[in-house]
Amino acid sequence: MDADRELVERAARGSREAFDELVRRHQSAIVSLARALTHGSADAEDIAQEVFLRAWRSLSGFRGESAFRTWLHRVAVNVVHSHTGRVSRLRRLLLPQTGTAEADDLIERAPARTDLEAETMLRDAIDRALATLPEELRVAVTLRDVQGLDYREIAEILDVPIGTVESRIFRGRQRLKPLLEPLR
Amino acid sequence: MDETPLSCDDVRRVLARRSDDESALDAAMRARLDAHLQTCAGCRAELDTQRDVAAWLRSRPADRVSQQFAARLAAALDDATGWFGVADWRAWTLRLTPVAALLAAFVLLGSSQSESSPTLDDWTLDADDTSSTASLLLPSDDNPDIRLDALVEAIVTGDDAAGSGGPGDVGK
Repeated sequence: MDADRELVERAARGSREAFDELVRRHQSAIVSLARALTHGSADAEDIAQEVFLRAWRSLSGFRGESAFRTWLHRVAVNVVHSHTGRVSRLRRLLLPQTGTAEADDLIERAPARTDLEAETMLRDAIDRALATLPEELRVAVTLRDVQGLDYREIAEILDVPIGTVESRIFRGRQRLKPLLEPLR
Repeated sequence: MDETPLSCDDVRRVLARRSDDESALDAAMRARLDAHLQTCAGCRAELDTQRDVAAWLRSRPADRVSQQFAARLAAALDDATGWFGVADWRAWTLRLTPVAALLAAFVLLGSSQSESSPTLDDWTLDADDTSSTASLLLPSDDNPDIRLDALVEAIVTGDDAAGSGGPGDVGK
C-alpha cells in the first residue's frame, strides 16, 4: 500500500495543501538524489525544484500503477539526465580547446569545499567517486545504495529488467571499491 | 532440482543482490551459490566488495535542504499554477463543470416553459402596428421618406414611437 496514496489523489484534484505535504515528505530524498547524481552540484536544489514542478504538472496523469516515491524518482532521474546533458554541452562550448581530462579536472575541483566538517567531506568524497561512473551505473548504484530503493523499483524507474539492474549495481560497486577504500 | 555447479560468471550475476538480501534468491539457488563461494576465494572477495561498497554508500550523510527551498518552490508552484492552469484543459474541464451544469439546468427549464414562450410568429411585424420602433422599418404608403427620419429621431431621443403618430406624439 502506497503511504502517499491519499495525498496523491487529493493533489491530483488540485489540492496544493496535499502536494505541499508530499514535497515535505520527499524533498530531502530528491535533493540528495540530485546532489549525488550531479557530483554535489550547487544546482541540486534547482533540480529538485524542477522535479517537483514537473510532478505537480503531471500528477493528473499519474495512474498509481507504481508507488508515488518510485514515480517521483523516475521524474528526478529524467530531470537530472537533462541537466547533465546541458552541463556537458556547456562544457564543450565553454572549454572547446581544453582536453577532456583537463575539463574534468576543472570540474573535479569546482565543488571542493574549504569547510572541513567531516560530514561534508564524507559526502563530497562519495559524490566524487560516484561522478567517475558512467551514468547508467551511477544512477543504478545511487538509487540502490544512497536512496535505498529495492531492485524491483529501480527496474521500474529505469525501465529495464531486474537482471540489468543487478549487473549495473555489481559493476558500479566494483569500480567504486578502490575510490572509496580510503574511507575505511 | 538443478544441481549443476555455478561458474564464476553465473555467481557474479547474482552477487550484488545476494550481498543485499539473502532471501532475494530461492533456496536451491542459494545452496548452489554457497557451494561455489566455499571453494572460490575470488567470488568471496567479490561478495565482500559488494557489501563494503554498499555500506560506505549508505553512510553518505543525508543532504540538508535549505530553509529557502520550500519558499522558492511554493512561489514557483504558484507561478506554474497560474500560467499552466490556463493551458491545462483537464483543470479547465474540472473547473467548468459547475458552469456547464448550470447552463444545462437553464436549457432544461427553458424547454419545459416553451409553451408559454413567444413563438416565431409572435415576433412577426404587423404593418398596421405603429406602436413600436421596429414598425418604423416597414414601408408606408403615405410617406415612405418619413420612416427613416422617424427612426433616426427615435434613436436620438429615445422616443419609442417618434413621428409615428403613436402615443409619443400626444400633446406635441
